Amino acid sequence: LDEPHLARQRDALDACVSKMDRPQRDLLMEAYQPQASIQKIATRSGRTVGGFYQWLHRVRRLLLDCIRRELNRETLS
Amino acid sequence: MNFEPDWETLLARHLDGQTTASDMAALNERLRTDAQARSEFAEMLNLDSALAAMAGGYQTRVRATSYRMSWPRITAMAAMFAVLATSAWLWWMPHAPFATVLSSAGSALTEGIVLRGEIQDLQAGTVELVTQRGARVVIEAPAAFRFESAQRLHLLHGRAAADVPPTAKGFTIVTPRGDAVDLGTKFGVDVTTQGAAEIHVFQGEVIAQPKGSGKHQSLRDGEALTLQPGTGAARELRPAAFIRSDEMASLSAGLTAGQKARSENALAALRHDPALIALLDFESAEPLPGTYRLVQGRWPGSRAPEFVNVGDHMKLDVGGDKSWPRLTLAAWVRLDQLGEPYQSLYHTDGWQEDKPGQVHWMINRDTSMRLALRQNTLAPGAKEHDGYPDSRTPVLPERGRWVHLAAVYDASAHTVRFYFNGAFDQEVRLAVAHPARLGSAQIGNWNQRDRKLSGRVDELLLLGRAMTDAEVRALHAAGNPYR
Repeated sequence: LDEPHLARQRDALDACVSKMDRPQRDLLMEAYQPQASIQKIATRSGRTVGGFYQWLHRVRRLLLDCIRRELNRETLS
Repeated sequence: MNFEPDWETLLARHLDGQTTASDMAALNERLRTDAQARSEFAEMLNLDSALAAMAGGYQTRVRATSYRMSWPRITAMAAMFAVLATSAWLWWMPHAPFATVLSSAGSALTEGIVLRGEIQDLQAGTVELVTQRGARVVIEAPAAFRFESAQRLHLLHGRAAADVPPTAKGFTIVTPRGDAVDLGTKFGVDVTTQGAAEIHVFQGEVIAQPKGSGKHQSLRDGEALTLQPGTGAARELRPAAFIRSDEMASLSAGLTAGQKARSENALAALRHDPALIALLDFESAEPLPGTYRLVQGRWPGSRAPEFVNVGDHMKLDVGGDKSWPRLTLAAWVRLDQLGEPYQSLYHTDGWQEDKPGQVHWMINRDTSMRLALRQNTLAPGAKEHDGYPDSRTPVLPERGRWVHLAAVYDASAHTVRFYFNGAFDQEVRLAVAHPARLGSAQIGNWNQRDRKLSGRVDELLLLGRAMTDAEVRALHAAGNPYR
């Protein structure tokens, strides 16, 4: 694990995020805004704060798996 | 509470800024011992930061599919590698909250709330926070504060007590008069509404940096300082001024158990007692005359006078119209152990006039409680060598928590009975026992000599009859802020 590898992961993130459906992507981006109120965002999305954090972590997991696959695909091709 | 959160949970909590102190320890341990965990941790932080960078320029509108984000140069990544090597990964959270609320005793900031840089105006109660670096801070109302970062807390006014582990070494509390930089210890900072600031070191070392002067001063265990231009002025430690972590649980539990309502009912009943001389709860809009600070009492949003400097006092003039053959004195107090000859709870004026029965209620140097009436004498065979009725047990806990003190005087029975937290302590027998005289008096000081008080008094009761053991016990039980 080194810096070039992490940089390639960041590049792959672009492709992975664009694979998400629009509402999910928007919600994810909202949560990562600098002044985000997780409380407000969670309520608007119909979740409890705890439920929202669970969703957020699932999304991150999925994105990381997607990124790793992307990088594998690149090295194989 | 020995449940060990799994890796996913620890990771999730850290990314969301929800890490508790024990999570911190478990996470540290896992990262130290598991290379795969370290690798995944780095990948997740990387992802997290990339998402934050992406979100910064993101617009929730349809855009051309081939847009290209320009990633900001994440120079922190290089720093992170240096940090990974030295086992201190937990610093690097670009968008995370600075602190999370761990627990609350009657404050508007409830458990789980995350704080960033906004100003918090705490009107009532007490809150315990943990910073992103693991520092635990207990802040008591009334207070105004904001975090500049996980390592810098601006305390505009109010009091904060911090417990700083090695991961948060350098944690700084910024006050209007200067900074307190902690080197890995426990300390407290008290800022008055006028901006005067004190630093109290309970354990370890704190560097005091008065504003505007180049001079830094090192403070150690048991030392306290008033921050002022130039070198600060050393002062006595006031541990009772600070609520700390270990007190939070019992304060919260007391509130949850409805102790505040029980207390109010007990006070309401006392107000109708025909023998009532005075019941001070210090809640009235009209403050009593004297020199003292008004700070929080036992209940969130309540008030209690705090006596800090020599000369601080409150004047009280009640019950001077008659003499009292039976008298109960009781108070909730939160005092420091001073080592001075006496701490003055309630002293009537006019010692020189030598009027028999003048009441003097105080705490002695050895922290026993004394109720002395002028010209009274002890019965033969009394153990008290000073010649005055003293309690047997010490009544001030070392850490300065709220305690209930009571003394019941019965001139016809020739006794003084002492109570500590509602429990009967001992009875002292008298040979000569004059009826008690009250009238013009002071709390916290005494005209004749510089006897002072260091701490708070809440709910002072003067009752013109002798309360029974059961009544004193009930009084303590009803008014107890702890559970």
